[in-house]
Amino acid sequence: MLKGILGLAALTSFAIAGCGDDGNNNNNVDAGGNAQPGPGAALKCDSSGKNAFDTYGAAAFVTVNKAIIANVTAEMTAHGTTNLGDSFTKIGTGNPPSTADNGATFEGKLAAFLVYAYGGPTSITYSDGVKYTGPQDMVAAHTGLAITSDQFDYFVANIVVPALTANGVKHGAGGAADPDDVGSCFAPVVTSAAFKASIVGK
Amino acid sequence: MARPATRRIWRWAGGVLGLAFAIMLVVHLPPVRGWLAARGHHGGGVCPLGYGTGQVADRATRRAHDDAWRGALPALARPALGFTLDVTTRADIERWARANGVACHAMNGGVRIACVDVPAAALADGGLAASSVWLDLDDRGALIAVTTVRRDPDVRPVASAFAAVEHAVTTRAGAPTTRAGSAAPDVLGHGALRQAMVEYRFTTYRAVVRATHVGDAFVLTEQYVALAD
Repeated sequence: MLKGILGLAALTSFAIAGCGDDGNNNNNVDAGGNAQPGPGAALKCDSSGKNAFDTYGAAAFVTVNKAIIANVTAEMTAHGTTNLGDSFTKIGTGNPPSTADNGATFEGKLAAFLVYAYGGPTSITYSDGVKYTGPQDMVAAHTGLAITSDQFDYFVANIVVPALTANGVKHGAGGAADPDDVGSCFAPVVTSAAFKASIVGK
Repeated sequence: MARPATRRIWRWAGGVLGLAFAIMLVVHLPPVRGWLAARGHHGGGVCPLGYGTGQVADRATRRAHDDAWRGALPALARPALGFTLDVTTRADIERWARANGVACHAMNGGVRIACVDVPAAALADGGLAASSVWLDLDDRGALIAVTTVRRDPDVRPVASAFAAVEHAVTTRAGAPTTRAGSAAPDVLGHGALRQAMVEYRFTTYRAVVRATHVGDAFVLTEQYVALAD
């Protein structure tokens, strides 16, 4: 009898799992708990010779962060999970555990990560009045999401680049006369193989 | 006298519930779902346990949302890589996949289909092979959006594919609404996150094509969407 119940339970969980479909070790913190500079801190924008945070400031980062969230929302409204996968729909569900943060916390943590990654402070107080920490474990944050290489590329091309260029980040031909800040002080972080590897296929 | 009758009712109720539970289990088993999907039952209904993610917006909801993307003029035609928006069905897509040896799988209860490693010849423009082709179906099972991702380590094939797609869509659908950046190889290849974009907005059709330098490669994304009228 017990065997039968266990068998039924196993079959049930198997069937229910089929009903839907379908952050690293924190390398940014040293042994003493001190945060190392973000990966973009040493990059120099064409327009200023300074890193992206020092060039554009916290308010611009908040604006770009909100544009990323708005672009994702528009994409998900239009096409559901088709193009970006189901990672964003899992936010706040806790399944997988990397999605435990609710939408507001996710947004604040994303802003803090961007600020830190591009040379800003290790924590910020976001527009919701909550303090968020920048150095984050990207592998742990994406574990269980099974993001594909194409979904990542689609996200960069259709969500990130439009969020930058639509919000005043200079994207000229390059050099001081016609600065390309997108290419000089933003792109190297987003397009680094190590960064992509910390997100894709986890 | 009442007791045996009550017992009989309980027995029947238990039996019916048990049968419903057994049917629920069986229809969710992957082989059975596959068999049902092959016969056009996409399972897009609401899952009573909250696991369903395949609900598709009805036409009125889509129409309201699509207004944000709608242009003022009708498109001359609505090119979508050989598929026919609002006409191509799931069965058509399955036939296309079989004929071209393309591996596709249904997502979200079958209302979305993802295909990988699609040869160039399987797509009407014949440009680059696509590493992913994603297809959206509406609540009637008709195709409403096609998205592709193609990549190449060299800038020239992507630049030339972008130009070919832009020319083809402009010729067939009409002039673009927005154009930004340049896909000329020396511009696109100049640095990471360089991007060329062209967007078309018509009354019932939207297409967006982007060529992007993603660091280790160049990516062409195309999106062809039927807007609900």
